[in-house]
Amino acid sequence: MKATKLFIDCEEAKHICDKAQYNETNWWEIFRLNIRTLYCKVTKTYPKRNQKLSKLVTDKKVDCMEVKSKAELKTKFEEELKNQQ
Amino acid sequence: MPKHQLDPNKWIDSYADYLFNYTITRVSNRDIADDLVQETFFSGLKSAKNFKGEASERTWLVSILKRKIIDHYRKINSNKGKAEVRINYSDGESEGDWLEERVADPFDRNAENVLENEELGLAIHNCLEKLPQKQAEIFKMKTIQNFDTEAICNEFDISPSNLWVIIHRARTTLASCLDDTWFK
Repeated sequence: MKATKLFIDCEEAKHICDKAQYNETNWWEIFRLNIRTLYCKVTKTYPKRNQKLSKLVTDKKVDCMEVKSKAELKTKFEEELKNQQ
Repeated sequence: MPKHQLDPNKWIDSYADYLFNYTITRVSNRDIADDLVQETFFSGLKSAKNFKGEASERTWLVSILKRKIIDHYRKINSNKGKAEVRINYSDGESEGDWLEERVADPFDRNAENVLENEELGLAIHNCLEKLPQKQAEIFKMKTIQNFDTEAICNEFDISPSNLWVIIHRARTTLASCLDDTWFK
């Protein structure tokens, strides 16, 4: 069964690493990722780069409009566009 | 022939987040930032005929936004009336020359850090603009706005495994883009 496999491939390691950036992994996945990083250079560099990106995006307070506000703005703007045409 | 042309149909999807990020670092209030961005788009639409096509759409919208932000502060200041400046020690037991102690601290890097954060924020938005729209939206919802995986999957009608593939692609592209534009 895939879930119980101790040795994972590079793609699965990257997938676990992505999930780990959002705290959506369990200890077993982290354990398998750590095993993989012991012997795979590619897997080893990916988490470093990934963590760097997470740190940049969260620490530097990158902000964007709330989904609801953006949807409201889009509706209003589209109405205005129609009126202009 | 002008180098750039306006396409207002794409403005909200392409520039709303960039303009919002630009504004929030200057006004520190989400509602005011929302209003200023909205005013910018509406003003842009009204004055579209004045667009010469020498600057990019985004640069042109930012120039309108800058004026909106200045107007916002002018309005606040005119409401305040005469400015009153009070300088007190924070606690009564302090002694010394208050004026000298308030001279700018050469080791205070706060202003530089704020500027660097702002520039980096805009650099990240620049890279986000290079992603396909759906990928960018999903990345922003997941990473910046901290939505649950389930909520995003429902919103976009995708499976969790699709979501993680999209997140992976977005993260890889963003990391490369930032390597090229910010860390170089």
